Amino acid sequence: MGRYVTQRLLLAAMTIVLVSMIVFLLLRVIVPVVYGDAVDVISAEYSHSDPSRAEALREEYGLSGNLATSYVKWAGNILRGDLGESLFNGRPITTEMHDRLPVSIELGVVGLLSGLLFSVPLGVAAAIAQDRWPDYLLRTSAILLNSLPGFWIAILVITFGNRWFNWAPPLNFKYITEDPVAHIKIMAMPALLIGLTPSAGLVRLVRTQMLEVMRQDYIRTAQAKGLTQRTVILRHAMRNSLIPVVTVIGLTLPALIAGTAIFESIFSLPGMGRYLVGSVSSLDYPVIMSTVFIFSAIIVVANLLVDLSYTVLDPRIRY
Amino acid sequence: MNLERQNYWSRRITRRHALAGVSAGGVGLAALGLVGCGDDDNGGTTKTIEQKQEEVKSILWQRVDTTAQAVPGGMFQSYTTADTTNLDPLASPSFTANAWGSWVYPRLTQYKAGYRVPATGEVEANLAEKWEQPEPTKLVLHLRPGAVWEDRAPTNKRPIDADDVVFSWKKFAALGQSRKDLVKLPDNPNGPVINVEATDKNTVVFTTQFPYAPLLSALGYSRYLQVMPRESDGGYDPKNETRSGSAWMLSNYQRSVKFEIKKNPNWWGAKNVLLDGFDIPIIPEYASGLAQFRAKKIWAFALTQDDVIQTKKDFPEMNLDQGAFGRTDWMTYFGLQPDSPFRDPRVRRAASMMIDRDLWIETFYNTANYKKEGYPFTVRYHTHISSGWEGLWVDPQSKDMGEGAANFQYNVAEAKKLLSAAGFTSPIETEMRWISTGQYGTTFPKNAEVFKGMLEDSGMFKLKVINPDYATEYLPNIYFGQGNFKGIAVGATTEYPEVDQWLNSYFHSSGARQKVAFQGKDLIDAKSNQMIEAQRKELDATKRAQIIKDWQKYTATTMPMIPYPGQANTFSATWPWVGNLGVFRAWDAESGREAVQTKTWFDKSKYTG
Repeated sequence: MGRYVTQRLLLAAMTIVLVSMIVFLLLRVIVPVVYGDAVDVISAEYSHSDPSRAEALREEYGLSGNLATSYVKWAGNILRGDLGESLFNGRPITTEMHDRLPVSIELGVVGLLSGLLFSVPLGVAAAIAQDRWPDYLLRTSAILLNSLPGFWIAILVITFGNRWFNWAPPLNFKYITEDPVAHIKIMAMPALLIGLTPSAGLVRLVRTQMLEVMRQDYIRTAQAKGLTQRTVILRHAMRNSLIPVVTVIGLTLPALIAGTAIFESIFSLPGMGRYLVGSVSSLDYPVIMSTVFIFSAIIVVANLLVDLSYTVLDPRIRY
Repeated sequence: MNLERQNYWSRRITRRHALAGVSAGGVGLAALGLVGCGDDDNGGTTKTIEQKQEEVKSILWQRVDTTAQAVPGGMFQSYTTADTTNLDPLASPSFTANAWGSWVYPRLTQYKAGYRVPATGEVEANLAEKWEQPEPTKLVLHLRPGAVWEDRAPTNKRPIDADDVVFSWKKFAALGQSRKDLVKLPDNPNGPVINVEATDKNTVVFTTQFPYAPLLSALGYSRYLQVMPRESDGGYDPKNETRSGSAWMLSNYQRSVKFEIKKNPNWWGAKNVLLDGFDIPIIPEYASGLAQFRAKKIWAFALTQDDVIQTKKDFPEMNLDQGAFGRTDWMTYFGLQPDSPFRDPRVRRAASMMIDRDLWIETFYNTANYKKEGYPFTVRYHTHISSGWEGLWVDPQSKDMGEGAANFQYNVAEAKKLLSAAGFTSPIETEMRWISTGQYGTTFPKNAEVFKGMLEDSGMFKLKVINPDYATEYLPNIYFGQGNFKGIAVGATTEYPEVDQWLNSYFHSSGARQKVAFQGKDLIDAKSNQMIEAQRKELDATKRAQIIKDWQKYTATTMPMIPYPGQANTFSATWPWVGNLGVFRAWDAESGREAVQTKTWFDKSKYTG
């Protein structure tokens, strides 16, 4: 087990390094050729009408030096815990992460938890009522919800929530340490909505797994022993059916955290997603590199934790 | 990367299609409007146009000066849609810094607000209290006594002095995004300003290389010289902090969340400022912003023109102000390579006559729906300057335009005669370029497609569409290509506060963005050049205006580019507790910080939020 963990950690580190190199190459080699560099993007036509000023900006931003040196310098700083500074305003990226990452994590975690709260019982209910109208209704609803983009649903909620109930999302974001009640009011709706799409998939997955487990011999044995249906489901079937669900949760959570950009824009939340999207628009290279690094680390570590969790959930599994 | 589009939009958008699009948009609006809104019937009968006009008129035209009743206090709930790159207006490569800097950093002059009518760009005193021009190439400005910086370290309420102005000028000349519009540089020999010096603590002298009529106006423009304290060089971080010398202070900036602007108690005019400040949350998404406005959490909102009528119906108490005409004038321009048919002015004039300007304006400004609802609006055609240049623009639909007026009329038969005279009796096959990505907004590609449709509808053009990449192809090869491309291009232009920069940049053969002389050396219109040079040196405002009008009449006959068809008034929405709405009207948003927003007030007696 220890050897397995060590191997996986090394693999994780290599993956993160590879991702960072690919992103660096894309940003500093391919994008400038195809599209333009940061100075071209942020200055638009003015960089063309004032080439000397554009060159001076490139010098100031460290864009005219050797690429390999730039990458090595960035990587060295990362190892020292220094994520760098924004190209355009010099703000330390660490400071921004400190403020923004908890917002995105909270959105993702609460969203997923709220999704689970609905999807697990509904999936179990669909399995128990297989091929009857509750099953059809739940499956159809799940497919429908899976097909609709979550951000579109969010915009509909805002538009019609306003028209019918004169409601609008709260403005003026407050951190939980500043004003817990206001914070919950601000985060509740986006967290619920962000969990909708993955919960739809989870309903179907839970249903499928439950059906498979319910057909196993040990379940038949439990039923033959006279245990109630409730006990059979809650104590025997659910635990085994949730193993693949844990996998999906483990993979969905980091994707949710990394994919909150649209919801953060719609609900005006200061999360990592908006930070990354804004930096991509202006080609703020240090921000992009460091944010991608953090996100890729989250995803890689989440994958590892999911794999390790199997040994807890299923004692038969050993590495 | 060039793409020939093979989707729905690549079909010709003909006149019929354009009209159908307007109808479809109207149906879509009506469908949306069915949700949760009332109808406009009046006791069971539909209102007549005259009844609707009376009803709308009573709301739209209440530009009542309520300053005498104003009660100071309150934070105006505004909004914005994006963060700023940084807060240093003199060194940032992005204009967002200029916009935010304009709240706190003073300019030497400012544009006088219009009183119940649109502003005209007339300049008045600001940080410079008075000035004189002892010689045509020298402008001497005297700073306002009592103007001080923010009462916070390191400025500590220090008086604003001439050395701050010189410091700021040097920074602008070295680092300013728009420095080439004003500063003479080795690679910019036509830049007018050659020196700025402080002759004493309160006097600054600008020296130009030739008499430069627009200088005072340029000194009021937020993209040029915003005066920063000397302490910004090392005493604080100007990219992330500010020190105010103006009516307002940036008291808080929380990235991705909001800006908070507060009244500067140390500003020389502070006792007349009616608001305590502005709360400006960042709301990137239009639907969210509209919801916030409808919920009365923000007090002013830039409704899309499609939403104006429906929102007004939902909230009859909402105030609608009819805005001034804008000063942007985008262009359709031509490749001028040696074999280009567009080198012949008859071909360019013919192309202009194929544009149905009325239909285009109706399509993109929603004028049909406004007309149906009785909303007042005015339509103006652009010339080679925008129709928003009050006092300078010549109406091409009037006799004032002279013989060139014909080139602005939709007249395909006459256009064909011109082409025939130029030797073209069969369709001209060429290329037409525009960017399809979002740099010019989401409506721009549709504008260009309508132009293409109108040109092809005449039967005299066959156009192959090419959508170049904005940064790597469009900007260097087309926009800055000086005519060295094949066919036709459609594109945005830069808005300037002063028409001189517009004329020089786009229409003088040596202009940085010129599109009228092939590579600046061939096909030079000497008469146009001479008129442009004359207007910038003419210090008499009336004579200068006449030169600019004469230039428009001249270019109407040569049609070096085809201006965008024109514009109609747009509407902006606020709630009734915004006092003095529409009474004081800014020349541009940035100049409104002191000229207009200091006179806005919060009428609590009308507040229902």
